[in-house]
Amino acid sequence: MPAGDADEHVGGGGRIGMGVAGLGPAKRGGGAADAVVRERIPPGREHDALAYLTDPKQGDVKTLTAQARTLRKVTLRRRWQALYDEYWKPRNRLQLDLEAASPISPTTRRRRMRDTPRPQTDRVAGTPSWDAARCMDVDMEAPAASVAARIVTPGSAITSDPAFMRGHGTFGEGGTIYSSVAGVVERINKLVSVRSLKQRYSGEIGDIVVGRITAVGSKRWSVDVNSRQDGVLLLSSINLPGGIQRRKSESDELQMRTFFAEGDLVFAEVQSYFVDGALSLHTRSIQYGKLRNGTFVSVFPQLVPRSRTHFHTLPCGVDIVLGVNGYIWVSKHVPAAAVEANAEHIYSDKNEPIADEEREAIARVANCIQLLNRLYVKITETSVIFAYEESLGHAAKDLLALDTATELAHGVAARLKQQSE
Amino acid sequence: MASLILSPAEQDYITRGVEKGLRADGRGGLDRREVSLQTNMISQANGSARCRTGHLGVGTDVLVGVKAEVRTWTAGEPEDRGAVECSVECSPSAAQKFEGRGADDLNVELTQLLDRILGGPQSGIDLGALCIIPRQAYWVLHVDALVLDVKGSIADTLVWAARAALLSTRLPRVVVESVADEDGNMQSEFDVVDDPEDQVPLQGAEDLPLAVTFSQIGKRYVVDASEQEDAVTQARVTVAVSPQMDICAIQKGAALRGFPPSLLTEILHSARTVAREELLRFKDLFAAASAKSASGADEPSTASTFIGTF
Repeated sequence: MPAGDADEHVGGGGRIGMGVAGLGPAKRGGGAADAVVRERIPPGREHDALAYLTDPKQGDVKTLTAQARTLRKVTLRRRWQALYDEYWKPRNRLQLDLEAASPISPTTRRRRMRDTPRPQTDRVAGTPSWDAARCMDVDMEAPAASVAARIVTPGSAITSDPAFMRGHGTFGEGGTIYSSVAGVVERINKLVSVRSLKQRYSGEIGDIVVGRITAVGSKRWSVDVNSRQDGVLLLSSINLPGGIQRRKSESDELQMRTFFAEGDLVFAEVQSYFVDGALSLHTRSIQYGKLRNGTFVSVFPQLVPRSRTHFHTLPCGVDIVLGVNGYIWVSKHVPAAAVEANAEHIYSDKNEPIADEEREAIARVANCIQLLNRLYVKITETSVIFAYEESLGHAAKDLLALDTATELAHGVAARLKQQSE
Repeated sequence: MASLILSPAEQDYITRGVEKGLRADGRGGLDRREVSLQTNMISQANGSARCRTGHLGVGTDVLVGVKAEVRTWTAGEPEDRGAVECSVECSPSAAQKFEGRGADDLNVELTQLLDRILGGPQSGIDLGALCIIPRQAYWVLHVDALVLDVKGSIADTLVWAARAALLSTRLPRVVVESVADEDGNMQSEFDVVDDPEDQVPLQGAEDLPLAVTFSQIGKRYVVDASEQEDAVTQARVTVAVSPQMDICAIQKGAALRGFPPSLLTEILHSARTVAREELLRFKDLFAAASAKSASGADEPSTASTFIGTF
C-alpha cells in the first residue's frame, strides 16, 4: 500500500483500522511494524488507533496486542519528543563548544546553529540528543555563546535540572548544582563540571616535571611538584654519579644529602602513583637530575601542554625545561655531550661560569614566560620563541612593565594566530 | 622571612647576578619594578590608598586607610600637638607563612618602621596643626595598613601607600570658639563641621618622606628585592628620604646580619639618588590616581583588566 493512500485511511477513527490491520500478522511487534505504525499514525491520533487495536472484536487478538504494544512505544516516544522540543530547544542558545568560543561572532554562530539540521531524536526515549547534551543552561540568560558566558564564580547556580550529575568543581544543594570554584563550565553528556582557572597539577604517569626537594626522609625525598600533595622520589629511583649500576646500600642512605638536599630543583619523570594519589618520581636518565646554571619560573600548570619533549634548546642559546606541573627552568645552554662527559658531577651544586650575554638572554626568556603566563597563553617552545623574538626591541627589564607587555601581547597573539591558520 | 628555600645553584646565580649588576629578571641593581597606585577607594576613611609593586600588575599589595579621631587630652601627653598612630597587619591570605602567629614579627617590624617615619617631626606632617585646643582636645590620625599580597619589598610599598593615603586625607574643619562659663572664665569649645564638602587637607603632607629598602646580596646591594632575592638577602636596611633630600629615618631589617661600614655609607648616598627619582615617579602616579578617583571612574585594577588582551 502506498504511503499517500495510508494517510487518507488514517483520517478517522473508524477507518484507521484498515491501515493498521494492513500490516499483516507476520510483522507484529518487530522493527518493521514499528516503522509502519510510526509512518501511518499522525501525531495526536494515537489514542484512536490504540482504542481500535485493543478492541478484541477487531480481529486476531495476538496480532492486535503486538501492534498495540508497538503503538504504545511510538506514543511514548512522541511524548518524549514533544517534551524535548518544549524543554530543550529554547535552551539551545548557549553552545558548549570551546572552538566556537572565539573566532566567530555570536551572531554568526547563532545563524549557523539555526541553519544546521539537528540530528533526529530517534534513539532511546528520554535521552536528549547530541546537541542538546552539549548545550548549557547557566541560568539561560547569558546573551552570547562564548567562553565568557560560561565563566562562573564560587556559588553561581549552574543548573537546577535533575537530569545532570555533578562533577568536579561543583556542589549540589536543594536540587540545584552550584559551582564551588571560579572557572569555566564544561559538560560531557550529563556530567557537569567546572574547570577552575587556577588549579593544582594533577599528575599522570610519564609526565616530565620539575620539582623542589622539601624534605629528606629515610630512603626517600619529598618533592614539591605544585600538586595537592608532595611527590616522592625514592632513593632506588635515582641514578648514581657516573651511571654506576648497583643496588643502593646503607652508605647511600647515609649520604642522601650529597645527591639532593632541601631546596634543590629536580628534573624528573612521573613513574607511578602511590595508593594515596601521591606521585612517585624517578630520575633514571642522563638528562634528568639536578638543575643548575639558571633561574626558576612558576606558571599555571594548565598552560603547559603534555608533548613529546619538554627539554628545549632555544635558538638564543638558552635551555628550557617545561615541567608539565607548571614549574619551568630556564638555563644556560650546555651541550648534551658535555653533560654526558661530566656524568660524575650530576649532583654538583656549582654553576658554570655564565657570561653577561647569556645572563641577559636567560632573563629575557624567563620574562617572556612570565608574560605568556600572565596572558594565559599556552607555554610551548613555539610561543616562547615568538615572545622572545617580539621582545627583542625592548630591554629585558622592561618586558614586565604593563604598557610594553600589552604591546608585546598583541604581537604574540598575531603570530600565534597566523601560525595556526 | 626566608620561608622560600632556594637551591645552592639558584642562590649562586642570583648572588653573582647582583654582583655583576644584572639581576635574574633583567633589572640593574637600583631598578625598581612597576608600581601602581590608587587613592580614595575607602569611603569611610578620611584618606586611603592602595599601592602595588610588581611585574605585570601583580605583586606586593598594600592597602592603607587613614582615620582621624578627636581625642580628649589627658595629663602627661604633649600639650599642643596631635598624634599619628600606625598599625600594620599582614593578611594571612597574602602568604602561607602569615597564617596563625606567623606574621607577628613582621607586623611589629613594619609598624615600628611606619611609626619611625611618621610618628615625629621628621614626617613633615604639621603635628601642631592637629591640635584643636591645647590641653583639651587633639586629632589622632590612625594609619592602618593591610598587606594583601607579598612578592618582596613590603616596606617600600607600605611607605608609598601610607604617603599616598596621608596626601589624600581630608580632615573635617573644626570651629573653635570661646565662651564664658558661670564664673566668668573664658572656656574654649569646639565644633566639628559635619559637611563632606568643607574639609581641609593635612598640613605638611607634601613633605612626607618616601622609603627605599636596600638588600645586601653577596658583596653588593639592590633596591626592591624580589621574593627570590629576599631569600638570599644577608642584610636589609630601609632609608626614608624627604623631598628636601634629608634622611628622616633608618631601620635595619630584623634577624639578619650587619652591613660593612663602607657599604652602608654608599647605601646612604645612593638612597638620595634613588629617592629623588622615586619622588618624581610618586608625584606622577599620585596625580594620575587622584584624577581618576576624582572623576569617579570605578575601573577595576590592572590585575584583572590585563588578561583580556587575548
